[in-house]
Amino acid sequence: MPPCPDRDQLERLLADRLSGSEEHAVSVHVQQCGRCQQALEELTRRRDDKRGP
Amino acid sequence: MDDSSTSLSLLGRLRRTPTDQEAWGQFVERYGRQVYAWCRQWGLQEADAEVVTQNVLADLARQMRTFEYQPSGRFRSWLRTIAHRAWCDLLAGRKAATTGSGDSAVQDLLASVAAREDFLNHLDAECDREVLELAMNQVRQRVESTKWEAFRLTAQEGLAGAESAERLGLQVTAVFKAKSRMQQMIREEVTKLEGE
Repeated sequence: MPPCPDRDQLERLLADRLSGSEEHAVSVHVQQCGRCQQALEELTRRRDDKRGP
Repeated sequence: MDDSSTSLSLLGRLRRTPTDQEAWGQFVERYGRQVYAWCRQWGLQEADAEVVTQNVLADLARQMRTFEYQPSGRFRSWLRTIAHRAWCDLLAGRKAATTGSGDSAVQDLLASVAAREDFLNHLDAECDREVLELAMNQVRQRVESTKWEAFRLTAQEGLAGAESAERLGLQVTAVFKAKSRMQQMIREEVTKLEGE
């Protein structure tokens, strides 16, 4: 399996700012990588438990 | 925007249809129990606490129908104004009822700055919930149901992204992208509703 995408790539994935080919490669990787899935869980965790969804 | 009753928050439903019994039930459940609990914390007897609760709910209900709410913003100040008016009415009512009766301890308690601030702070917490509920309802109307479901499963039900993806037949990254996008839209909606 290719190396994990870095945090910046994951953030750009969430912000929909990856190129088509880049997003495809990241998606294929994340589909099989528990560590990257965990990283995405953390990046999308509530920023403010009191207010935010 | 779809402004059918299902797209409105609880307070929005009550303003639009004051006879909505189900909404009133939820309103009493949400605000009444809280007001009663504060009253008891402040040392009121059960009977007094019940009377005060009923007064606050009645004031909130009445002022909700007459106050001009502008959906473009300032939701928080609107609700806070209602709460403050209800509080002032409550004080006036207690003052009239206790004049000459020697019930000054209760009067002092209700009139204290600390009690008023506590009341408003708790109302603020309810307001936060109300604003969030309203924002989520509005965003849900605008997005694809699958994306909303991805957000609901992960952010509200606490399911892992992979499990949600499997349930929805999506790629894992699609679930996280949807979750992130919904969160952003809801935050923007909350900011707009608060008019800040």
